[in-house]
Amino acid sequence: MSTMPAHETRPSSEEGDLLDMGDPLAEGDLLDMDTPLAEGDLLDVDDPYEDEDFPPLLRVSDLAVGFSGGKRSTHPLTPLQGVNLSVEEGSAVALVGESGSGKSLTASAVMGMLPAGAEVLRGSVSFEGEEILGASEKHMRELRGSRLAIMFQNPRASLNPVLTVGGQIAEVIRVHEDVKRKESRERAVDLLEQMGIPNPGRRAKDYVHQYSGGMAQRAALAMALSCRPRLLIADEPTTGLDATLQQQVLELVVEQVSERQASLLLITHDIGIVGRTCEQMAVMYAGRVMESGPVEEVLGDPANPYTAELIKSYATVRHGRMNSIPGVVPTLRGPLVECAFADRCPKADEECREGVPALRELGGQRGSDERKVACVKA
Amino acid sequence: MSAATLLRVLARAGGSSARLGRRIACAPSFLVLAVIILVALIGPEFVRDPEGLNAGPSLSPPSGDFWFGTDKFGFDIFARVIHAARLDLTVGFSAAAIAVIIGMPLGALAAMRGGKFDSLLLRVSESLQAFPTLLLAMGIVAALDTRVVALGMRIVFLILIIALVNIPVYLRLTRSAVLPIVNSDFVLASRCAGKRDLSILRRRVIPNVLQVVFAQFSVNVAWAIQILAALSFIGLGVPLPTAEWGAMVRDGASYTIYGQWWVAVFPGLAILVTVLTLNLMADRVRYGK
Amino acid sequence: MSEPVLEARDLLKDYVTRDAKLQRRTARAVDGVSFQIGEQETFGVVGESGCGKSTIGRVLLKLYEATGGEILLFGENVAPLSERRFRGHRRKLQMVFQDPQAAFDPMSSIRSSLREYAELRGLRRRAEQDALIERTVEEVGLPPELIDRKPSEVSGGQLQRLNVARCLLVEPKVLFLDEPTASLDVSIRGQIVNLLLDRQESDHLSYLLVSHDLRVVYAMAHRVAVMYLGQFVEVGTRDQVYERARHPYTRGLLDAADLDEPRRDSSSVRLAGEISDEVMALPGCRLMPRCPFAEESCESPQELLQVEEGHLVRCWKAVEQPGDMGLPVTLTKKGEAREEAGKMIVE
Repeated sequence: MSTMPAHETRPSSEEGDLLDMGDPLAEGDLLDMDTPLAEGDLLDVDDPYEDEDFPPLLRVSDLAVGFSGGKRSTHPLTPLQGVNLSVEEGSAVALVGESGSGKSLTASAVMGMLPAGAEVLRGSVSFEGEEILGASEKHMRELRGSRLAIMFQNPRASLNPVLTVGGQIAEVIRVHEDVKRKESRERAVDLLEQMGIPNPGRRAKDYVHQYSGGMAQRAALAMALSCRPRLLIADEPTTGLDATLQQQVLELVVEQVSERQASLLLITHDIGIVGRTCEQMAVMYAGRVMESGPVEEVLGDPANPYTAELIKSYATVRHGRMNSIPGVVPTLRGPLVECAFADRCPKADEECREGVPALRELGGQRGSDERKVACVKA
Repeated sequence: MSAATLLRVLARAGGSSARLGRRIACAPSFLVLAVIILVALIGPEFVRDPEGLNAGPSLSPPSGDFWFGTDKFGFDIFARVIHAARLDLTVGFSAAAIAVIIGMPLGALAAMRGGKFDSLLLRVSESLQAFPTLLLAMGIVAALDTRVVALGMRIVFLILIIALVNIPVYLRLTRSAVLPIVNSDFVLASRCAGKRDLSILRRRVIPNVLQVVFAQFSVNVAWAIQILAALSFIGLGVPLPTAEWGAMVRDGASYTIYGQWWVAVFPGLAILVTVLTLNLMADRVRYGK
Repeated sequence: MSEPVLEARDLLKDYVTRDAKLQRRTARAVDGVSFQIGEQETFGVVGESGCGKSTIGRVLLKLYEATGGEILLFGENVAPLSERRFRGHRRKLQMVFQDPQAAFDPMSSIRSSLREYAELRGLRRRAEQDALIERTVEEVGLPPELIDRKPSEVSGGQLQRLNVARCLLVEPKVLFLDEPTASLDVSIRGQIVNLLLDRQESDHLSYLLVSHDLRVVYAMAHRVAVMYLGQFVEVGTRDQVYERARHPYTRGLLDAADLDEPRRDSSSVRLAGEISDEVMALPGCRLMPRCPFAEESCESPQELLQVEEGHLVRCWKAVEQPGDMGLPVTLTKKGEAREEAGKMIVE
């Protein structure tokens, strides 16, 4: 495809990744965070890439994932069509998308936990400068337990129902650090207390089914943070909770992550919670990132018509018609050949159907150089 | 719900589960079962008389003449295994069918009505299930044994007893499958349309549980065959010289240690293959594998 | 308001469950709820999951039997009617389900599910039924071919339109909308809201809208009730509830929903902890354990008190000592509006 710029077809080998650091286009790919927190963080950490041009903590480039789907299906499902995303040290990034946009699958790919039948078609995922997409299961298991953590929509998915909550958190601590049983228990209780669980000493001895929804999600957060991760991926952490609780839990997640100077990748369908939690955001649609950049700028002045329509659909309307996007989210079979949003887009024309628009820097006077958009009309 | 209604339901569900039907029809287990049924239906026409005395020498091993050998009376074991297939499958299918026809609507009604009706049915079926199925069947047969002597009557009697001990299985299975459906939104939608309970049961509930029930049906035919064989094995089932797999195994068991293994092994294999095939089919229906 | 189309008086609904020791326990899902809905009016009920808001509608439709209270449909109390006697009223009152995927029989075609409603309309002949079904499906903006598919082969947004179409087949007077957009994506949500708004106008429909989505209620409802643990804690017109909220729970909900724009914001009441029905055993305010303004007097039973015309609040403090609760607070966050509302309360 002629419209593809260099960074879309970047080689996925490890050398390729290192070479990329010098590549100005790839540089732009980083959602740069110049906050003092991020810098201080880098100096503290014994990072082998310290001398490099500050590689992002997590970089996903041109990630495509498909389902082989047996012999008979001629058009295998291809839910991820080249995702580009990066998370800087110490930053909080929101990945927003509707159901079927591929946001959760992106998280699974990063964690090395793709569902059965899914396979990586191309692309790379680098974490702390190291390519992890093809890494061994053993290596990924080590990574998942330590520097990379995830929490799910259903907190009960990450907690073992037949072990006490405190017991399993203590166990995780013991696996990763050389501490005595007693000390690990105390640390677990401490963690639960930090997560705002009242009476943590007693609650640590309870099982997860004795916890209410909000408490269980707090415990799941304690579990995820118990191994001191560098990056926490929170996959719809508050979707199952009531509105008044969502806020409490979200604030807790953000506060605890930033207190530990870790990074957060918040995956959500709810564009409304983004502004309160993250500095950076990326909007996904049909397996591609449509737009990314600082939250204020993206929400305040969306460059991609999809983002604009989504924000409008979300807006409060006094008695009257609400905005909606006509049509339905496409089911992706095989590689895209045009902008996936073209069928529903109010601005679409012939140009949009000539190829898949690459995620490029927005440029011009609209916003900072961190802004990227995948739209030929922007 | 009458049997006629059930047939209508099955016919209706036939349309909606055509895909399921195709999936089952392609299964190897289905082909094996089809062969077994075919053999049971027409096989007996092509083999020797299973009760023809002195058809051959007593206890001769498998040979070109007698593929499965002969037993102590000189009966052709191959002929007897084929003939027994008809009897065992008839008992198995009819017992399971009767159990389904009574158990499924009762279970569905119990789930829909709830309350006392539900509790009563549950308690009764629990008390029946408290006994091991085989023990219960044995007990009933032993108690009523002497009154049923004629062979035809005896087989009907066995079918009814095996059906009876299997009714609770369907009742509970259907009840548990129907419970979530009764509270599902699409059933509420039918109630909003003013549909009566029986109509909802017929049009919405039963078609949605048929798959589970069919899977159980297959397993139950296998159970019924096993129960019949076990009853015959301990002498409570079909009397000699009628050909029946279980009775034949019993008959042959004592010869096995003297090296005349074929008397028991071939009918035993017939039970094994039939039961295994039915169970594989049940898995196929349930999991679509 | 004209003659109410539907009215609930002191509606009660208990669920009987058994605990681990098989002891009977009753849980009161709806505890003395009263309201009226006029012609072409939308009455919105907001609250969190488990507050009993969905149960109200199901009791009104007599899908669940009411434990107490009256249900007046065009003035006639239908609560004591048997299912057989009530069947004649079913055409007037219908329901749009939350999860469209669950609202259609997965084993049958959508046509078969729609036919049941065409039958309720009184059409006996297949051809008549199909003609009506196809016309109605086209009216909600869908190709009629869709109805010969299974529910699993149709997208959520389309299926929800079919859900609405199914109700419209019987020309109902009142629709109970049970979280009609909760299982839809934001970009699709508006399609259903707009469809419902259009049909309300063209068919003079009354809606009982139950939702936890404050935006949908804001767009659709004329009057709004806020429900907490089986009781209405605040009732009023949309503007009264959204812009002059008194009850701490309403304010907590509004704060959490962050209605203005999807932006950074923080203000007003922050509720602690989470919903728990343990407080229902106590006579006092049920929000007490979570309320930042709670004090001893809150332990006595709370009545719905009128604070202005048509605006009721179940919180003595919000009525007597609004200043202590940082009242009044408005959503517009404009200084003037805040003062204006303040004078109103002082009066």
